[in-house]
Amino acid sequence: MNEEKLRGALRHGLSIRTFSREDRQAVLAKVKGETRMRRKWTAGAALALALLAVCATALAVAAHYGILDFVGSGDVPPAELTRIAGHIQNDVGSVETDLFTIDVREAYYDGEMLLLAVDYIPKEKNVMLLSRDFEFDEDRFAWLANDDSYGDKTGLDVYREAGYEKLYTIEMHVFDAEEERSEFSTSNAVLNKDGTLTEYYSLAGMTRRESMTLRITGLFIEDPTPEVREDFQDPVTHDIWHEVDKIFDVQIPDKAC
Amino acid sequence: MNDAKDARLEQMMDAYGTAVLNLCAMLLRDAHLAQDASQDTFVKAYKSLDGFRGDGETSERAWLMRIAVNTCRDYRRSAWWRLTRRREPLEELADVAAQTSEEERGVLAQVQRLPAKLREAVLLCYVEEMTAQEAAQALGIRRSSVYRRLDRAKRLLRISLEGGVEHE
Repeated sequence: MNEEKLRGALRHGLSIRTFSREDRQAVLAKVKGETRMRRKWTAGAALALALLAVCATALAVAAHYGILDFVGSGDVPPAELTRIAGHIQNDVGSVETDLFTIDVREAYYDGEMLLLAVDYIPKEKNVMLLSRDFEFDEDRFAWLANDDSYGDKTGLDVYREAGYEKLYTIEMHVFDAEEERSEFSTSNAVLNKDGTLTEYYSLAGMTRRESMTLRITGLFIEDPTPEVREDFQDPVTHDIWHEVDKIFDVQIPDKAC
Repeated sequence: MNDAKDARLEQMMDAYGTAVLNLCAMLLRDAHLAQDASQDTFVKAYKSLDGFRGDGETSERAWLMRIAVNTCRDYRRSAWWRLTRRREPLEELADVAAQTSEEERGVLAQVQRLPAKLREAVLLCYVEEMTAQEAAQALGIRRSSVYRRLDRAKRLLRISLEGGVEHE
């Protein structure tokens, strides 16, 4: 990638939008109305959280597990959760690679949007997993991140203290195989206590169809040169890229149709 | 609100409003969410103004960009559902599509697909022209990490724009 070409495209593309007068007025209004808004929001939030807790519990009991694990996100309106729960498909498919089992554990498809919960299960022991947008589990590893002597440690030193021997970054993407597109996709990852990593994918704005073909493709990135790692937040440096391309296709019927 | 703080807020919005908006747009990959996040950034900055001292260690720009980056991280963590519902990729906006070449839109699209931490470094260094030190302050990482993230971003962009996977 030519650096100047990159700079030019970004500058030109981003020069078109500006922080508008309306944006400024919205900021000033928010600053002025902060106290009043906060009181309103606190009452509204308490009610919403109470409703969500009741709904989430009921749904968890009904479905036994999962519901795309959205319940834990705390960001889905109860009515939406109820609707989603009715269209969940479990155990959509799985595939084996040399390094991982990739398990598409849950799927929701309504003809226009696809939501997936995909588990990445390492075959090796004591493996730390990261994902492309993974935010480190600060609660779980706070004792390491806040260690006073952390500044003198390599990334792998830190991981080894937690019992890990290898590190992979998972950069996998979900495609609508028929339309060959993933530009509307988003993902969010959670590192589970058992060492597996669950990634939640979504594809939105799809052309409505009664079923779709799913493809997951991407890279497992391994760093075998721990001596050059020097910070905790970005331990991957000299990578080995394990390409995983067109792992599997699966038909997901639109249960909402 | 007091007059001095108000004036400072106005100055910051004048100087950095568009930069913050664009940073948020690229980090969130959604034009509408970016508006919300950029506004939230200035609201947070306003609240923290009393505690910020531009002492040469951290510039006002780096401080503001750090607030923007953290705001976007919060959005990504908490608003996945909203992202699935409201996505409006930057390169597909009518004004952007009309005024940029197909090649430029392709680059914009691929940069938006970079992992978030790589995108942050690319935006700060290549669009905002921050030094590696400033970007490091804005991101709360070491300068060497900024260089590594830029290097890795370029490798990924080379693959996505020119095809093929690099093997080492």
